[in-house]
Amino acid sequence: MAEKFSSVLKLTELDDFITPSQECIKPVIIDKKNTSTQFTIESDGSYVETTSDGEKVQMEKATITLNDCLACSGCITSAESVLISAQSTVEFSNVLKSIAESKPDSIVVVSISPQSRASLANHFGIDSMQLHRKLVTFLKSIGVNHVFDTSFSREFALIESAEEFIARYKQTYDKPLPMLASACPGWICYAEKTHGDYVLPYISTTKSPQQIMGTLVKYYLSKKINTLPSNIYHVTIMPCYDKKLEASRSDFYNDVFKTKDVDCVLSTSEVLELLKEHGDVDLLKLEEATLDNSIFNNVIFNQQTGQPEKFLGVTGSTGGYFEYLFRRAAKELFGKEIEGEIEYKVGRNTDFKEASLEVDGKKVLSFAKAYGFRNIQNIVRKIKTTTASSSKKEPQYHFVEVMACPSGCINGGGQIKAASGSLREQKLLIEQSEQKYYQDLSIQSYEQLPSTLEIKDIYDQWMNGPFSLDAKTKLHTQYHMIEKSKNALSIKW
Amino acid sequence: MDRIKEISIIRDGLPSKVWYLAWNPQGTLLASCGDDKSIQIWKQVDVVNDVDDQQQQQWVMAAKLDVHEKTVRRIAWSPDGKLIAAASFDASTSIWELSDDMNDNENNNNDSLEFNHISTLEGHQYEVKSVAWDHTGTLLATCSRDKSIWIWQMDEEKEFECLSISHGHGQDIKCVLWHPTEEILASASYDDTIKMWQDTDGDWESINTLVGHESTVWDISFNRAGDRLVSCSDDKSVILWALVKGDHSDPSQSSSSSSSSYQWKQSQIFESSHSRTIYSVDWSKDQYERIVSTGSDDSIVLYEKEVESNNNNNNNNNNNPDTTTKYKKSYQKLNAHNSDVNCIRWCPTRAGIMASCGDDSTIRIWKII
Amino acid sequence: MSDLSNPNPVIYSVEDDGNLFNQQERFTEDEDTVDDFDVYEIFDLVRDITDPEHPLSLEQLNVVRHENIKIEKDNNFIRLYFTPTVPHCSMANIIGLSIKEKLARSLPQRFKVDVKVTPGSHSSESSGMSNNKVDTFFILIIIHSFIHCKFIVNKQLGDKERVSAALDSNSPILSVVNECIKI
Repeated sequence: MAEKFSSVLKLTELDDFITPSQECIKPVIIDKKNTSTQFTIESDGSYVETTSDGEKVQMEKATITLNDCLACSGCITSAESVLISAQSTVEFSNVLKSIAESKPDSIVVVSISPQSRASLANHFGIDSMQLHRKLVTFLKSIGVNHVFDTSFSREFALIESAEEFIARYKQTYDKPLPMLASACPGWICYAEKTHGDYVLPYISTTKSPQQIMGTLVKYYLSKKINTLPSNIYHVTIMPCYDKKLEASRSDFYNDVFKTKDVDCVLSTSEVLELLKEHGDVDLLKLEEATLDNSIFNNVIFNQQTGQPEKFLGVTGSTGGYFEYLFRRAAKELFGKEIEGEIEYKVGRNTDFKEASLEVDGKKVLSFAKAYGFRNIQNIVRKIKTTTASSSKKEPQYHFVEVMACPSGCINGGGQIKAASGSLREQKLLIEQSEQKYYQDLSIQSYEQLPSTLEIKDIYDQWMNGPFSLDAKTKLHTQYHMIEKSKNALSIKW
Repeated sequence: MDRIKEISIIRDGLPSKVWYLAWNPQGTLLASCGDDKSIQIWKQVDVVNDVDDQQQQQWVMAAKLDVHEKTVRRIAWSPDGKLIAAASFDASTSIWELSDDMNDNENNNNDSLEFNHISTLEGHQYEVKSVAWDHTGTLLATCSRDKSIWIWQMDEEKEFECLSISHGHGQDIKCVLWHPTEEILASASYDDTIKMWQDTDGDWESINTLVGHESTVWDISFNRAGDRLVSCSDDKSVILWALVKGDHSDPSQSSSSSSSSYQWKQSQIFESSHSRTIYSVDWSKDQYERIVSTGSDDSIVLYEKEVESNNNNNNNNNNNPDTTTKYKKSYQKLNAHNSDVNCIRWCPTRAGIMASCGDDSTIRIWKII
Repeated sequence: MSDLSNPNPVIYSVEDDGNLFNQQERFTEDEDTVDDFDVYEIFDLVRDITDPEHPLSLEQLNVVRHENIKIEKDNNFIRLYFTPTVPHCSMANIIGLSIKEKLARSLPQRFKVDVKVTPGSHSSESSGMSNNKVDTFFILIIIHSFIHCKFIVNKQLGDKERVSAALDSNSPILSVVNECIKI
């Protein structure tokens, strides 16, 4: 399972397969009074403790939560077994079952990412819209109330990122340049665990589309449908395993309502498991559902037939941050319209691309895409050398779309893999999924965002507009440096 | 007869454990490193007249480079002798450049040299164990206990960019070494194997795995043609490997990359060549092509070509590694150092001269006679 | 659950002949003094090292025994086998490192010291689990993991590069080892 994590996470010791019981040393407070007792192993393998009074007590199993793992600089793979128990198809099915049996007030929401949809559409060999509608049929049949598309929340992410970038550029937001994209949880996790103090200020504070969807579902939708955030069970379908880690961050947990913004993350490939677990459902044979356009709508409907026609979306199967920010910054900061396609300069490998804007012979905007671990290294290295030099040098880049996976999110670790596993086939699969991403898509230019009145309304009525104080509270987050473990017994040498 | 004669010794100014030494390509300088976290540069002052061995070589410290927070494990000179890369337990690799004023200094008969710290390469999670420049001097490889190999490219401004981060070894990687003429990298690991790596579509991937040692492989060295390799191990053996081209007999390899036509086969093994772990091995690039090994038993072992007696094999195809020249263990120098010997290296310019260093806090220069 | 690997170790009585040897008889540079007492002298150096988890000495825990020390006088090889109290890799590692480091600091440079886990099956007695009905499968797992662990510990302790790196300056492991070997 660990191979499904992004390569970045795997590098930080993630290829050491260990389970919490064997090697994970979560520092536990020692209960000194226990030391005088006897502990034995019963025939069933359980540990039993005999206190000094001769009383036998079954010992508790040490448990490690995903949060313990996220807060530990040791390993990440031990999170693997924790993930299985916390965020899996089995867990999702159990929740559906218990809701059906005893919690009639609960609402189940599934938010699907456009990249997952592309991968599934390619897998089943049908159009993206068909796939989406059949999947909605399936999800509703197992008890899901609403199915949304994270392209909806991604518009908020794009708008907030652009506002944030412009503010950084104008030095009205107390954060440095270059701004580094924050949508990739693998990258965030790596930055927090290994580059803490000096890289974190550069990372955009804007939440990822998944987490903005979480905020919208738990705090906007709940009000709208008149229920408590904790009554909504929110599942996302993501191209990426690392998204499970992101959903588990304590920053996205509400103490008052005791609820997470996203309760469960399923990877694209886990959707196939889900189909299997619910009676080996043949998705192709399912009806195409009618789509609800009353809330969080992301679909264009045919005026005459009322049938859904296209998804609203943006260019870029990795979220489109680069393009949207580049065009908007050019326009708003320098009054320049970028005509036609953006001209990319490809770096030493295809996962590093850059583009720049010159005004009067001076490079005023310099953007880059850095995908995959080696390119992350080079970006981090450049930031470090720039900050290290005492002279207040202009940063080499103003914005970098950093992603842990080569080829970006369309090639995420949770996507459906090529059967043979050969590199060539995998590359072909990425190309095909990329095509599916653009199928049935109505591409919105940067000026067309927000693409629906609903988004505008949510901004105006619920947050006082983009990048307002309210928006900063609701749509932005923070990062935490993780100290290296000082526990000698937990250090591998 | 004592075939390995000590002709000089450096005692003062060395770390208590000298982990590694490297001759500059001109054979005029020695760089050493160890547990004092610094790199020491040594310069030979009294040029020795080899005609009579009476005269002793003299080495003086020409520079001491200090930037690392922990032990410096290995160092490498660039092919032009102007740069030094140093791998440290502090998880970083530092790059040093010999100051241009060096020539003036030399003319002025000043023994000190100036090196500028021009770069630090970071990214490895744990100790960097080894560093190596390729034959062009533009690619740098590092390896670490984090089981990864990083390939860096140096541009004309001497800025470094990471080209590839490769995984393949299951354990700590002890050393990396470039092929003498091709863009092929060899690595040796705690997982008992040696791997060959090559650029495939921008990613460096393992193209061969050499299995034969039964414990950690500590050091490797190519012969000057680059078609043979020698390795030494914790299993106390030294193995000679030979490159066999165009061998498709192994079906497991045929499906992988095009480079699978390169196969490395074990051609000779010296079992129990030393009585304890063998840490270092080097294949001389001079006409004698001698091999030397050393390790934890404090001794130095010399291997030389067996006298050619090939009369029936002459017309045989040269694909069979068994027909390549056999080596014999020709001499063992016991108690060469007073403790573990960590490294031994032939002088690149003077045949029969080599230097070794060890836990007895000395560097010793030897001459084969 | 307590996080001690072995909350209630069996405690053994210490040998009282350990201090019979006075300083002059210990490792002088004179080769001739190397005799049968050496084993006891080596033992003397390591007996008081404490377990990282308990204020108990390795002698009290029966981790080190003089009969598990082998000396080859001709080539100055010393081999010391220790018996960890529990089959826990990181614990055995720290004990092994402490023994190694203590000997390295105490002995002249010419000695080659190998520290290894005692060969043969690990006595379940000392892990405090022997008197209970234990699932056979569970025992197999313990034994298997112990054999695996022993292999790992021996190879790691035998790798002087790994050992040096673990004990390099500012290492948290070094401070634990220093704790263990201080008298």
